[in-house]
This record gives sequence, structure tokens and C-alpha cells, in this order.
Amino acid sequence: MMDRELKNRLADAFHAPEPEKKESFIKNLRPREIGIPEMIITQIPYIRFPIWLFSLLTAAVAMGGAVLGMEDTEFLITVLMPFNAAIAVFEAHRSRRYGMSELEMATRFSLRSVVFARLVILGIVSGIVLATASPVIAASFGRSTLLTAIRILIPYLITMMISLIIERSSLGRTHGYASFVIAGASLALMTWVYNCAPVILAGYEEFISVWGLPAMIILLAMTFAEQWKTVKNVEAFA
Amino acid sequence: MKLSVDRITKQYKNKIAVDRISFDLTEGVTGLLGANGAGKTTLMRMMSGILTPTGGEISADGIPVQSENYRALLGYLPQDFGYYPEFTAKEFLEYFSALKGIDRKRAKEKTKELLELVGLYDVAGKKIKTFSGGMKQRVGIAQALLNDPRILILDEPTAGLDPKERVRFRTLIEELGKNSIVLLSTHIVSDIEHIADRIIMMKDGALVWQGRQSDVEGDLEEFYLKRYE
Repeated sequence: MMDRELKNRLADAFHAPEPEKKESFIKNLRPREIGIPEMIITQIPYIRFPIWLFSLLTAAVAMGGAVLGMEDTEFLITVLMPFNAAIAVFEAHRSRRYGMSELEMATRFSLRSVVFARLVILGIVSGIVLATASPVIAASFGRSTLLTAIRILIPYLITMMISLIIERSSLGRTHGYASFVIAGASLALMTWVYNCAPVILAGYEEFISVWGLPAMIILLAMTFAEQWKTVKNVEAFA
Repeated sequence: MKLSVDRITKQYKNKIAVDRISFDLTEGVTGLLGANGAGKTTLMRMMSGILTPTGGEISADGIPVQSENYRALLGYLPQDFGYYPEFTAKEFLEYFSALKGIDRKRAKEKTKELLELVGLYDVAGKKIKTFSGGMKQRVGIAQALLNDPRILILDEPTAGLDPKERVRFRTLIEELGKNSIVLLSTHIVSDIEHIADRIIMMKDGALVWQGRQSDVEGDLEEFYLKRYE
């Protein structure tokens, strides 16, 4: 084995030659393969902090309410989740809002991938909030976890679906906060039903207990379809 | 590499923005001249894959324009662009490095290199919203160069640059043109007079002249103005 000092002296005495045609070599390298999961992960740091904070707040309300035995905890989460949907739709269209669409469309992964990644990330976050809140609330108040999850999820899915449809329209292009108006309307409607319309509330509870699961599956399918349309059409330019 | 534009057309309801334009580009700088509304930006958007043509085809060595492989070769600077308000110059370039599929280590190196190249290294940590128009344009130019593009499409890249920055930019483009296909649009003849090997002139969506600069008789500006009479 060569002695370290000798190695260092040789390195000092002889320099590697300058690379020839370095620039054209780099240009001719094929871009490395990047899978969809890796592409999605690269977008995680670019989801803004207040969005993570709102999801955390929703989960915290669920945990805190359940621990404190607040009867309205499920209602609170049910009205907060549509705002998580509104935030997801709003964030997904951030590129358009800040004039970044054209630049992002010309990159390797393009705007379509960026919007897809944002919807996937925020969908997973909402899923985690739901998966955390539902069993905790159900256990604290002696309810079925499945029915609790369905009651929380249905307003979320309806808000997401309507917001995505509106965002693709000219109304959504000119009124960037339309998804929050939908979430606000959802809040107002649910508050009215819970406090002032016991008959409608009873009917809704009956519907959930019998048809909740198939309704949720249908709404999930419809929401995925709207998300797919959004991703597909996001690069319809001019 | 050969970038082929074959009978490209873009029609809107009552207007033909680009009318059956064809040309081929190889390594070197091509200047795209035309007045406002000539169709330069529409053509460049189609060549960048962000606008679908009504007719015709664009490809680079057979790679179709609306494919990931084409975009991997591409650097594009639009005429107007925005930025996320929380981004610093460094973060902006790192964001686009991620979108261009550049790994983090290389992205950091390239970001530093390009910020030095465009003279923004000292303000790398400052938010873009605090920048002047010329500084924002330089950030845009830097992002177009992140992936060492083989095809560089620049739409009015000297807008907002002061005379010193314009000279520096022209030198940079001349250098890039040695190994890449560079298409540079402008309505200011002096931007390309000394650096473009080829000139393409557009008027009302149509191609009115194309050829080598050496084919231009006399002064380029006079020649260009004559085409518009």
C-alpha cells in the first residue's frame, strides 16, 4: 500500500487534465429516470407551512375534543374538513394564480405533474387527518368508526368536487377564492341543519346509517374523476 | 440535433395567429424578428410544447414536442412570468431544478454557478419580489439554463435589461449557441445583429423571410423594415 504522504505529494505534483468537451458531454447525457413517487416527494417542501398547520389544527381539534369529551367534536371536524378540501383545490392552482404556469409547463415534469402532486399530497394529508380523527372520536363517544368517517368525509368530498368544477370554469379563473366560498356555504348549511332543522338532521343520519357507505364510494369515484379532469385540463393554454 | 418545425399553424376562432410555418434549426443562434402581434410568442409557445398547434408538427431529432423527453432538452424563457412571493432567487432555481429532474447535489452546484453567471449571487438569499425588473429577468434566464438545454427558446429575453446587461447577455447567448439550438425572439434588431447566424422574420402570423445573416443585403434593420413595407 502506498504511503499516505507519498500519495499526497504525487497528487500535488500532478494535476488531472482539464476535461475536454465537458459541456457537450453533459448535454448528451440522458436525463435520469425519475418515478412518480419521487416526483411527488420533491413537491412536498413546496406546500406552504400554513396549509400543514391547518391540517394539524383539524387533527388537534379532533384529539382535544375527544379527550375533553366535547359532544360537538364530530360536528366541528365535519365543518373543518371542507376547508381542507378548499385549501387543497386552492393550492393546486397556485401556479396559475402567480403566473408560474408557463414556466412550469415547459419543464420536464410540467404543470400537470405539479398539480397532480399537490392534489395527491394534500389528499394524503386529509386522509391522515380523517384516519386519526374518526377512530378517536368514535371511541370517545361510543360510535361506529366507519359511520363517523363517512359523516366527516361526505361534506369534504362534495366541497372538493364542486370546487374543482368551479376552478376549471371562467368563474374559478377570475375568482381565485371560489373554493372557500363553497366551504363557507357547506359550513353554513351544516350549522343550520344541526341547530335548526332536526327533521332534516334525523333524515340525514338515517340515510348515512343505511346508504352511507355506497354514497361515500360513489362520491369518492366522482371526486377522483373531477381531479383527473382537472389534471388533464390544467395545461389548456389560452 | 435538428429541430424541425413543419407547417405549424395556430388558429383561434376568427384569427390565424401562426400560418403554416416551416423551418429547421440546428446548433447556433437564430433570431426571430417581428413586430408586436406577428405571432412570435405563439410560435415559441408551440415550440416549447405549452400550446397545442392546430396543425403541423414540431420535433427534435424525431422526439415530438409534447413529450417529457423533449422538455428534458428544453430551456424556455417566456415573455412574461411570475414567481411565488415567498421564493428567493436561490429557492426559485432549486424549485425549477426539481421540476427539471435535476438531483439536489447538482441543483445546488448549478444554482450557484448560474447565479454567478447572471450576476445575482450576492442577492441569492433575497426574495424575488424585492428585485428590479432586470434582476427578475436575469433569474428567468438562469432558470432556462438549469438543465444545460440543447434547445433554448427565449422570448424577448432582453426586455428590462440595461445596456450593460444586454451586452453581457448577448455574449452569453453567443457562447451557448456553440453547443445548443438557440431561438431568440425580439423586435429590437440590435439584440441579434451581432450574434444570430440565422434570421427568421414573421409578419401577421406568416414567415416572410428566413436565411443566414450573411444573405442579408446591407444593414439588417433596413432589410427588416423593407420586409414590412
